[in-house]
This record gives sequence, structure tokens and C-alpha cells, in this order.
Amino acid sequence: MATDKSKHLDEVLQSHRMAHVEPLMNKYIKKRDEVKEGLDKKYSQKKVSSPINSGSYAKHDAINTKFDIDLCIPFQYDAFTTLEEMADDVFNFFSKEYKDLQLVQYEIRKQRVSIGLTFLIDGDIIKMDIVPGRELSKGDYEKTKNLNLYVRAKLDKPATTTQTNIQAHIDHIKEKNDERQIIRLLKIWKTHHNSDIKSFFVELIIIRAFEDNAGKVPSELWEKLNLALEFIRDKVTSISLKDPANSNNIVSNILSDSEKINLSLEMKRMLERIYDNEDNIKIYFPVNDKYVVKQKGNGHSKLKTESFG
Amino acid sequence: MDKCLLFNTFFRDQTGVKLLEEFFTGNEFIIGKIQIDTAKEPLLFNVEAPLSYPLSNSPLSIRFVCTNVDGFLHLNWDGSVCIHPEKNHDPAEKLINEFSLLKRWIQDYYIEEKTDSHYEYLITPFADGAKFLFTDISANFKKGDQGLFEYSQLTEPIFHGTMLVQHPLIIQKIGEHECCWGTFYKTLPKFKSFWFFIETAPVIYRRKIITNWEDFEKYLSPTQLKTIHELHGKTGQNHIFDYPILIGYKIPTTNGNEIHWQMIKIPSNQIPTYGEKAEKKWVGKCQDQQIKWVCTINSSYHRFFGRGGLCTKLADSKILILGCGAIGSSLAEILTRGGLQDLTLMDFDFVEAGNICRSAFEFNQIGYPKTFALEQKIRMISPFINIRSIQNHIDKRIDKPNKTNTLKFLNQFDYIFDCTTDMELCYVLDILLPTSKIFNFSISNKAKEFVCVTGRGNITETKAHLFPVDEDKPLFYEGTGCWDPTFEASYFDINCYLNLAIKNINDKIKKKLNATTFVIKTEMNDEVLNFELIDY
Repeated sequence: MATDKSKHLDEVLQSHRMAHVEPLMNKYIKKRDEVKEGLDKKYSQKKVSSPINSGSYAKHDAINTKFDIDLCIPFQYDAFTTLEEMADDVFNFFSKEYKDLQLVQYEIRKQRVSIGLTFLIDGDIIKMDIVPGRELSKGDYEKTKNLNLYVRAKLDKPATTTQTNIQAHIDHIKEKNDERQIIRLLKIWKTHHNSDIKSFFVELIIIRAFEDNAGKVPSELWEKLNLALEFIRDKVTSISLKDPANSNNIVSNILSDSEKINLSLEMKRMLERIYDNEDNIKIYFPVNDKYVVKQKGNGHSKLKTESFG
Repeated sequence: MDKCLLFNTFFRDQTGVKLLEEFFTGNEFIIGKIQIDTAKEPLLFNVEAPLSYPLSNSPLSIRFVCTNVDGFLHLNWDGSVCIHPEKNHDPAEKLINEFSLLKRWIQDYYIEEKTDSHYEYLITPFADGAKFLFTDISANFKKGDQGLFEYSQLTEPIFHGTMLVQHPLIIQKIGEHECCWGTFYKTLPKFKSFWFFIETAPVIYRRKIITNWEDFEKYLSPTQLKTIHELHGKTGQNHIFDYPILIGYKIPTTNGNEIHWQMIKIPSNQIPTYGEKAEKKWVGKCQDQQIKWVCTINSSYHRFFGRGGLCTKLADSKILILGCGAIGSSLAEILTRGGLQDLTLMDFDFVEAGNICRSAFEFNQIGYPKTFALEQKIRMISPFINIRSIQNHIDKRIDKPNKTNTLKFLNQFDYIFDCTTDMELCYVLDILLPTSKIFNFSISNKAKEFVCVTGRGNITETKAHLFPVDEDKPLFYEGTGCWDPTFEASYFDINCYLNLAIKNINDKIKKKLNATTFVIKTEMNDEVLNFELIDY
């Protein structure tokens, strides 16, 4: 029997809800609050505000198979001489001063704009990114919430700085429920298909797809997803997507031309396969078996044995 | 037309060419002698063509052997010009082509003395007996440096009662610097002898290597000469080589300089040095004695796999193969021949007689654990592979403490190829979610389809969806009862799918594309075999 695509997608979204991983989330939140407290204490004289929540959990578009609970610590303009000094200071704090037996010391990493932390709590691995930022001028953060970040060098990319605004990012997705559904579906696709397209890019292009089709967005879940997939297929190679927090930051430039072509081709192939056979939607958007209410004989996790090796 | 008449007429008709000796038919060749006038001095050539001319008498076709100059580029040790004429069964056309190639060589390399963009090794007459393989080592040497090097035999020197013309040996270590062989090869029994670094290539003339010890003397430092001299009266430690002496010098490459190593064999009764007293000091000298050069080959990784291999990202990755049956064993061989350097094999089973016809195992490996048998085979293929075999299976307990250990094991790999077709294992991997990229391979009965599923957490479902429902139940039972049917597919069925699958994955990774799930189907339509690869 052919798959009811919208019904299936709804089941996919339901099975990927964060509510299913509440015990794990509680551990995350508890740990995040401890880290917040540690940063507050260490930088009481240098911070311009307490660390703020960022990442997909803060934006309410997280999925339970992969999510980020991140923190951003905003510093006063004169707290450090340079942005690099700021980034190194926070890294040194976690690698040398911060005491937590659950923090895996050898996995404290300098990432491009953040410090990566890994905690091992009762056998669960919990990852958290800490983003240090500095206000643009004395007293500016209070008014604009803008921050400058240090971007570390990576392979052939030199070190640089970038301006951001966490609150603007959160506000950008606020109350966009249709978009959030599709973003979550594409994050599910991304996670299961080892795609390394940045989530921020996915967010922006989906929001644009809905903006450009304002008044024409269908109500069925599959139709909405279809609209988004076709938009990416047709527009990704030419579209310019600006960071809502900083119009000088063209987010679409984080993908190279060939990466954009590949993404377009992946969307094209996905749509073709689903048009060929509606059941193929399950390959791209699988339910999270752990949290699906199974009907008798619905086929999930059926262990077929007719293949050979 | 009579072949001798053809040659005589042809060369008589050429401007600037003198036929010095008319062509005649000898026992093996049609032979003649010509002189060619050039802007420099005239060149003299003995011309030898096989009796089968214009067909070559493999590997030789016509040879123009220059008798009055040597050492020029593309001139072989025996004076023959290195030309590669096109095959042609028309004798007159072939001769025209060959002579034009000879004239081009004269113009480019004799008159203009052009140099090629690529370096050409020195022309060296090699003595039979051995072939030493080495890899590039990261070391800086200066003229006069010397020390001990270590080497090992790859095989016994006698094969079927006959001494091998090129007994293969590998150089293990030069001073403190190890050649980059895989761990197995580093454990072979070792012999020691001396190495000398002489800085510049030992040439008598252009690319022609020095062949007399007297000429070689100036390349050696007093200490190096003394080291050779001290061999007098000692007995060599190896039954083939009395004293192999490794000589290193710099050669130009496109990336700068590299060190090339050549080997000299010194028989214990022919030590080529003697001493003279000069100003009350012992001074080492070399005798008028022929140098016996022995063949060496730079077999560094990039040369060994230079003719074709996996893309760098795949070759440099850490790979785990789960299941070493028909698919897994051939996959291991394909990846190894592609230049993979870090491979782990896992299987709990043993080699059975019935496995041989469609796997990489051999008859004399029956009864061996599959992992061990495959490891043995794999390391015989590549000297660069570091291989680990685990005769076990993945722990399927998915409770927390056990899960953490299994995950830690799996996470050390970049890629996991699951060739077990064990759906329970597939399910466990979906639950564990290792950071490694998983490719799940399986073939349907009668080899109708090959399914490669990749993903994170969704492999079981995807496979259940894509794998064909086959009404043909397996029919082949190996007398083991109904619990152990096996699928029907030949070695060539499995390998044609497998090679296509690896090509698809490799090419995608090379182009930085996401290697996704795919199905390959074969079907005979109108007596034509059709392959269809469907990417998901």
C-alpha cells in the first residue's frame, strides 16, 4: 500500500520530539546551568551579561537524534585587548581551571568560533559549545545585543572575526511554525544521510522559501516539504542569504559552488525517487524507531533475513 | 619484397645516410650498419631487426645501436636508442616511422641535448641475483655520511630448484631512518651492511653510471674507503651477498630533491680497495676493477600505487570490515590493491571448502579462521597495509556499559563496511550510532541485485525497504541441513557488483559528494546484459 506521505512525515516529526528524551535533556540543562555558573563566577568583572542560551534547543528546532545546547558569553568591550585573547582565555579556563570530574579533559577543543566541551554523565556523552563574544563598543551590547566573535584559522582559511547577534537569530525563527517543521525534517534528513550542510544555512534557506511563496504555502505537510525541496533544488546555486544579525555576513557563501550544485542534485534525486515510489520517502525521512508507538505488524524493525554476504 | 632489399633500398635513398654494411639475414636478426650525418659528428648505428619484422619478436622490434657516442638521454646501456614505434604490419610504413623517430632522437637529445621535465635514472648495467626495494625516508644526509643499513628477504632465493634472477629483498632501515613498510614487513629477519651517502650521482658521462672502482674513488670519503678496506679477510654474513653496499645520492624531482639509493655487490674475495702511504698516512685507493651494480627500486607508497588506486581520503582512512565471507573477503582485497593502509577484519567463522570458489581464500587455508586467512593474503599483496584481524563478532548487548565499550571500538574507524548481512547487527549499529560512516552491503539470491545502504540510525529500515523480496528460495544446501542454505552467486557475479560499488563510493568521495544509498541491478534484455545503478 502506498505511503501517505504527510501522515508519515508527521509520524517522523513526532518520533523526533525532544520530549522523548526528557531525562537526557534534564542532564543537559543541569550541566549547562553548572557551566553557566562557572563562567559567571570566573568572568564576573568582564562579562556584560550572564551567558545566554543558543543552539537548536534555544531556537526550538532541535531533533532528538542530534541537538545542541550551547552557551554564548558576552564580554565587555575592554575586557580583553584582542578577540583572540578572549577566545584563548575561555579555552584556558576550561582546560586549566574549571573543575568537573564529568568533563572529558582531552576532548576540550578549540573550534572555529567556540570551545567544544564533552561531558560523560552516567554513560551518556553530552556535548556543549561555548561561544565567547565581545560587545562592539563600550555599552553597545545593552542596546543592540551585537557581538564580535573570533574565528580561528582552519586548514587554508585564515583567522578572522565576525559579528553576530544570538537574540536576532532566535527571533528570526520565532513563531515560524511551518518553517520550523520543515527545518526539523531537513535536519532529520541531514543527520541520517551524513550531510555536513550547516544547520544555520538550512534554517535561512527554508525561511526564504516560505517568504518567497508567502500566500501560496500549502497546508499539507508533504506539500510544504515538497515546496521547500524544490526551492532548494532550483535556487540554492544562485541565492544570496544574509545573516539576520549582520547583513555583511553572506551565509550562503559558506557553501562552495560545487557544494551548492551537489545539494541541488541531492534534492533533485530525492524528489525523483519519491515521485517514482512514495514509499521511498521512508529512506530520506525515517521515523525514530525508539519513540514510535508501534501498531501491530506495521513493519518497523522487521529483521528480514533473505540477503546474503 | 625481400626484407634485406627493403632495408638496403630504404637507407640508400635517405639523404645524409650512408649504408656502411649491407643488410643480411643472420640467425636471429636482419643486420646492417649505417652512418647518419648530423650537425655534430656523424653517428654510427648497427641496425638489428627481428626475423619476424615488421612484427616484433616480443619485446624487441628494430634496434638502432649507436656505436660511437653514449650517455645521452634515452640511450640504453648497450647503446640502443630507446624508441617506441607504433605497431604496423606494413614493413615499408613501419620502417619510415621508426627512422623518423630515430631522427627525432638525434635532433632532440644528441644535437640539442634537451632535458626532459621528468628525471630519468642513470643507465646502469645490473648484475643478476637480486632486486632491493626501498621507500623514501625523511632524512637529510650530507656527503661522507655512512652507517649500517638493515635489509630482509621477501622470499627464499631459490624457486623450484633454480636461483631467482631477481631475488626480492627490502631495505628496512638506513641508519636510524626506517623505510615505510607495514608492521608485518618490519618484523622479518634482518641482515646488516654498510650504506654511504655520496651526494651526487656517480656518472662517468651524462647519465651513464660509473662502472669501474678507480673512477668511483673520488666519490668516496677517506672513512668510506677505509670501511670498504676493512672488509678484507672478513666473511660475508649473507649467502647471496658477500657485502651489499648501499650508495645514496640526490636526484632532482618535480617536488625538489629526493634521495636515490643504488646497491653495489662486493664479493668477499674481490675487495676493491688498497692502501698507499702518503705523508706518513694511510690513504685508501680503489683498484681497476669492475663495479657490480645490483638493481634497486624505489617502491614508495606513491610509486607502488601510482598506476591506480583509491582516492586519497579513502586510502588514508581507517576501515573495519565486518564479515569476511564472499563479499567481505573480496572487498578487503579490492581495498588493499587500492592502497588502503589501515584495515581491521572481524569475523568469527572458519574457511570451508565450499567458500573457495567465490571468495578471496585459498585451498590450503581451509580450516583457518577467515580473518586470519584473509590477513595472511592481504599482507602478501601490499607492503604498506597495517592489518588487524579479530576472530569475533560485535557485542550485540545494547545496555549502557557494554554499549559504551562497543561504541568506543567502532568509533575508531572512519568507515565500517558491514558485509555480514546480519539484520540483527544492522539493527544494533542503528541503535549504537557510531561516528563512523557505515556501508551495508548485500546481494540478493541469484545475484539479481546488490544493495548498498548507508546512513545513521536508519539502515535497518532502509534495507528492509530496498532489499528485493525474492520468491526464489536458496536451493544450494551443503549437506548441512535446512538451517544453512546459501545464496547462489558466482565469484564474477559478486565481484562485478562489488567493483562497481567501490567505484561509485570512491568516485563520490573523491568529488567530495555524499556517498549515499544505492542499488545495482542486472538484467538480460534482448540478450544484452544491462546494469542499472540507482542512487538514493
